[in-house]
Amino acid sequence: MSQLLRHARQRVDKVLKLIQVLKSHEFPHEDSRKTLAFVEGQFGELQDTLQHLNDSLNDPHTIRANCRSALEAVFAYLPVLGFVARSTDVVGALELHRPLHRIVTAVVGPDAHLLLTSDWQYSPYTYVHYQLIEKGFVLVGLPASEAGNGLIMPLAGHEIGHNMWYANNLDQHFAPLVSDSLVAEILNNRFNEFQEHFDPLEKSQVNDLAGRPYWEPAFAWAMAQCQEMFCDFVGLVLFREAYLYAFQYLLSPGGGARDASYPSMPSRARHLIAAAKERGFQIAEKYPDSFDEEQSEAKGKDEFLLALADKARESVIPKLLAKADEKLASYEPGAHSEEEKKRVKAAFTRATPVAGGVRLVNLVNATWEIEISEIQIWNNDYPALAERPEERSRVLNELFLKSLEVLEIEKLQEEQP
Amino acid sequence: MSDENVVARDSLQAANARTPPFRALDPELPSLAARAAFQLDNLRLEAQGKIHEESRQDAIAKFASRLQGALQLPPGADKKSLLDPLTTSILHGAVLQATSDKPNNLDEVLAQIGRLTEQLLQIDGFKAKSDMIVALRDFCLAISDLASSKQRLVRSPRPQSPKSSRL
Repeated sequence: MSQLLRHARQRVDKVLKLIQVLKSHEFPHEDSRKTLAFVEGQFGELQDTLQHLNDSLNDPHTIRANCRSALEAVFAYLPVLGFVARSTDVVGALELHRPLHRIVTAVVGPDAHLLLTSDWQYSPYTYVHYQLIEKGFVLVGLPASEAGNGLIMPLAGHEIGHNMWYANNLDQHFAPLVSDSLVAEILNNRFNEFQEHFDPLEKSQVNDLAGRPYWEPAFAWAMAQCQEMFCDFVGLVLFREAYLYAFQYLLSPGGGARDASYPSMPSRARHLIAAAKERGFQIAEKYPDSFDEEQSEAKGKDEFLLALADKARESVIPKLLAKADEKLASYEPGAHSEEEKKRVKAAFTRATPVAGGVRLVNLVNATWEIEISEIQIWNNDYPALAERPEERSRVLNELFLKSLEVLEIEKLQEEQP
Repeated sequence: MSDENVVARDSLQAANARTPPFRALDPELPSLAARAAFQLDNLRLEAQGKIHEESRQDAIAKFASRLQGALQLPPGADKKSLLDPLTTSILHGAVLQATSDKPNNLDEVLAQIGRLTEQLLQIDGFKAKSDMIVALRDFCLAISDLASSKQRLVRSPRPQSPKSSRL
């Protein structure tokens, strides 16, 4: 047997052995075990293919391609297994799991599974892999340094958005809109520049085999940017102002180098504010000022292509927002209530958790409003707290998490006959 | 693209909801195409009498179904706006690598892909034709290679794991 095939088999066998070890762990949620079973199935299939490949009979290119696929699967799934392993660690705010799981089952699919873990990446993230998403596995990592901080919960909405994007094939929906926008911009406004940067072409060739490869990077960037904005809108529609506060808390002032796959931070903030205002959300006018413009290293052709990508993304913003609204329409419509927020604030002022069926969006927004308010709710009754901002935030967070727990118990009682 | 086209395409997508789309950046694509190539190679061995057990064809069927989904356009829809440039580039590259054709435009690429897809869907009827099976296998291999390199190229600037997406 060739070394190539032997090593490929060994690598896959070792992943399967690792899965066996992981299966013996105690998991706080059954979804972790289900994810393991799914990954085991994927690797079982790979093992089967590799075992049936025959060096002396099969075509060498076919063997090589399958060995490469197996290697790519190890690259892709080992972090997923690490994620599952970390989900045994109960460092994070366990209270977030059930409410977020409810959202996931409502907006991704009724049988969807959620794995939530505190992780060693500062930025919240999710795994985007068709095979995982197709089977309803939503994996969301929140930063370990913020473990226990329930107020960053709305940012999980963005990560759930990525899963909605793939579960609903939104790439296919938006790709033609983005392509059309790029082509129109090149043909109508920037054809001379296009010709300066690339080979001379006829206008009719821009959107055909000869011209498409030139603007392909702009397409890839624009699509990635559109996905990010859709996810931001999902976070905004689900959590209203609280998404903006959490986003600002975690990422302001931003800055640094521009990643072409993301809109610039100030653009993101501007799109979010425009959408928030359209919905009558209360947010400070100066919100975008809390984010610095990133420095772009793109020059020449890349600068031109990035400008095209930015323009294409801007052109579909209203459709991205409308799509987020459409996909979330059935999730707690009309849940926002000033009266419920007042009840939360009243309970928290007494330093007690809230009960009585307050909905998540109102709980999280009321908590954020207290967090950022200059008027301290505990000035009169708990002056010691009022003088210590960090302790105040800690108590507020505890009240928030305890309230989530209470609300969850109430929901479970409601659901039981 | 007109709103009618969007609506028509969305209806088609709803009908094919259980078939994931054929997309250049689908992480499963290189592996699916490689497995389809393996199953085709086994069919070739069967046709040549070198193996006697019946080969599996599930990956061939799944791969063909995805290609078919990419080519099913509602009446009046513009093919150029329905196939994204990354996917077009892979399909074009695969036709160049695996066939003797040198298409001059997107319509010619799509026509050739349509022919290859039909052959994949009707592979049972071609089990004795090892030349055709080899051509289809090479087409699958080309898709696997090109999708794999395209995915690395597009995702390489991102600092995260290639299969993750951050806030």
